[in-house]
Amino acid sequence: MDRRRFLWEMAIFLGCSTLSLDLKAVDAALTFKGAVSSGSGLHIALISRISDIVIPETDTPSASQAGVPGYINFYLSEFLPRDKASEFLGGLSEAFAQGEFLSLDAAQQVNIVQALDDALNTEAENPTYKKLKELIVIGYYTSRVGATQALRYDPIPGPYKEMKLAEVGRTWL
Amino acid sequence: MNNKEFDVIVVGSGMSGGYAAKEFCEKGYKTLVLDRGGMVKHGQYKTEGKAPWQMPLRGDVPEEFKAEQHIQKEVYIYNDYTRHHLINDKDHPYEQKKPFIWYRSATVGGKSLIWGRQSYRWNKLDFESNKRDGNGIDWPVRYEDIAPWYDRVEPFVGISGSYEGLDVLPDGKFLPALPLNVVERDMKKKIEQTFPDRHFIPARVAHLTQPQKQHLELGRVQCQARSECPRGCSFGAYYSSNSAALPAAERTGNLTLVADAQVQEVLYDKASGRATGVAYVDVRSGERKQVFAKTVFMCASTLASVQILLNSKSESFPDGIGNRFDVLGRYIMDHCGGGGASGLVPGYLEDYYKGRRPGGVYIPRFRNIGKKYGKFERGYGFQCGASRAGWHWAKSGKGIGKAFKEKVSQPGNWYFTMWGFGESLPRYENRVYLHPTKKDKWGMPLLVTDVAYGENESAMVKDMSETAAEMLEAAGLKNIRPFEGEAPPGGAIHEMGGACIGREVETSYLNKWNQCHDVKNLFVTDGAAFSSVSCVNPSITFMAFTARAVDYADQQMKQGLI
Repeated sequence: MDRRRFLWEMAIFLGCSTLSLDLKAVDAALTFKGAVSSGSGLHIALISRISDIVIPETDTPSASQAGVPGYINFYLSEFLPRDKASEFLGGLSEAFAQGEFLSLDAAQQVNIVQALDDALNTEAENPTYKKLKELIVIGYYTSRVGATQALRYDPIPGPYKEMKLAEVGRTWL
Repeated sequence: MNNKEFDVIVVGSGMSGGYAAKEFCEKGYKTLVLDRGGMVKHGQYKTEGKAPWQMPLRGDVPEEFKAEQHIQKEVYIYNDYTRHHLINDKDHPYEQKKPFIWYRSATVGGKSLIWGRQSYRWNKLDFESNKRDGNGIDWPVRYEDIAPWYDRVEPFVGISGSYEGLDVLPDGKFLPALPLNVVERDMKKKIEQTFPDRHFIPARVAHLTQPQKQHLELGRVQCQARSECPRGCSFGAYYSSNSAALPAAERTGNLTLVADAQVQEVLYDKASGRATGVAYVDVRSGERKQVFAKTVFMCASTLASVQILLNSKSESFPDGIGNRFDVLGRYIMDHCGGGGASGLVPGYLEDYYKGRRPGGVYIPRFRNIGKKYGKFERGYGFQCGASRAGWHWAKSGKGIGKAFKEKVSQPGNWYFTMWGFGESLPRYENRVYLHPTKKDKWGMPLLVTDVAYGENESAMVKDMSETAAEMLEAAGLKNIRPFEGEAPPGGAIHEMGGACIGREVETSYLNKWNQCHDVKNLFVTDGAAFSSVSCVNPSITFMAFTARAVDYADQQMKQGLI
């Protein structure tokens, strides 16, 4: 494992210098074994795959087609405090078998996500999945694709007007 | 500018100050408006019209900003689109001896840029309550005195509303009301049948439903139901100083508006017994300046006006200008709130709407009207509305895959929510004062808040919750959830009092014309002047008092009396 390269990738991801990386972040990142070998940020591939299981392509685009992984990456690197981002990545690694999830077949992947989703709002819920699901939903439905295709968006609706649902067709953003 | 003599100085450019400036400028007075906030010209609203995907965090505010706005971040409009309209708490500290949430604007236009826009007249009882139940000091003003000034203010502001003929909520001069939707129309029938003393009417809001000539002349047009108001609205479709009063003042050629000017003190001349002007700090350069005028109007917002007046110390007034009897800073009030209920409305699943309506339903006060209720003094009203659940449930809801997407793509059930706003009592011991040693970075002594609610407010909030639930029950709603919030004073952002209107100098700060008893050319016309708070949203009443005070000051100046 190329620890130096790994640190470098994490530094870019977390938007900080390697000197200021906290150990927890490094530990969390190191659990993504594949990230180092592929050199392409396994967490992004993982988040992308899970996003598309939650929001697949149907008559409207999927989560990854709407740029959700990029939003989540930005959220983790620019919004969350570093310790929280590390905690999230660590949790992700744990919930998805250090990234080995990606080598499973599609049906197995769906089953794993379905099980995590079924546990939401119960005592058994996985907090990292809960947060990830929230980010996927926000990331998708507030994206241009999600808001204008999966939902209805009208920036300047004009005066409030009662309509039949059939006339509108979908939920308003 | 230092060499120029003005007729009038108005401190603050929000709901009261903006309107004062308009009135003075239109009467021909050279008017200087000073505002501590940064300049925001109408139309220069940097987040207006931005879609969520154009915001890096889709509206979430980065932690570093929240850390600098640790008070403001709790306000209901706070997000990445609006945060620049709210003050930086680190730069503008205050001390809470008892908890008080002080929401403050960071811009010219003050809270008029970010207000809730609900606009209701006070009723006759509101002006008589202090006298009737013995709390606070009696207003030397009655509804009849102020009604003509509502008549003057409302058409300029542009208020949509329905004519109801209710004593408890007097009608004004309205633009067409916002529509009730199908769910609300049915609920109205059921609730009014079950409770004949309760009225279920369209919210009255400062939105142009049908712009008139005077609105169009200022470039203000019809509301487009974007519901992005606190970002600023280039349509001028809701009233703000920025969109209406300040442009109206500016076109007279009589307005000088200075932003980034933190007024610290009203200057006083012992020999003449008059205010001569104000001292302020340019918050960008730190430069200290003095400006002079014949008359000074304090419209800096309730607590800020009191803070400045307390800091206006002289040999004649060591405890603040015009404050010989420790009346300044007393009787601080806010609307007590947090009580209400929500519930699911069965059915109506074929019905939907277009547009984000800027106001829903109002249920005016019904307690202690006609007969005494017994559990508490005074009363409360409800702001309400019915709408369908959108996609937000999905953030924490279950589901994945195609079925999940399909479910999110269709709106959920109809829900109806009611939020109470109650009239808190004026209490002498509820006060603000200056910290003896601590100052902000520009040298202004910090304000200390020592304000708390009492048993009357607790009983009222409890009653709000119970009556809301009972009305939803009567209307046939399901899953009814009553709530009883415990927001500290300031939470309703309707803070009032501190420089109260009254009859004598020993017990009040202002006379019935908003004029300082002891300093005849000093007026306070923002919320600080209020000796009680009614239970309705206060802004248009601030404006009506301001218009009346300007008219009075005009006459006094013409007669050479001030």
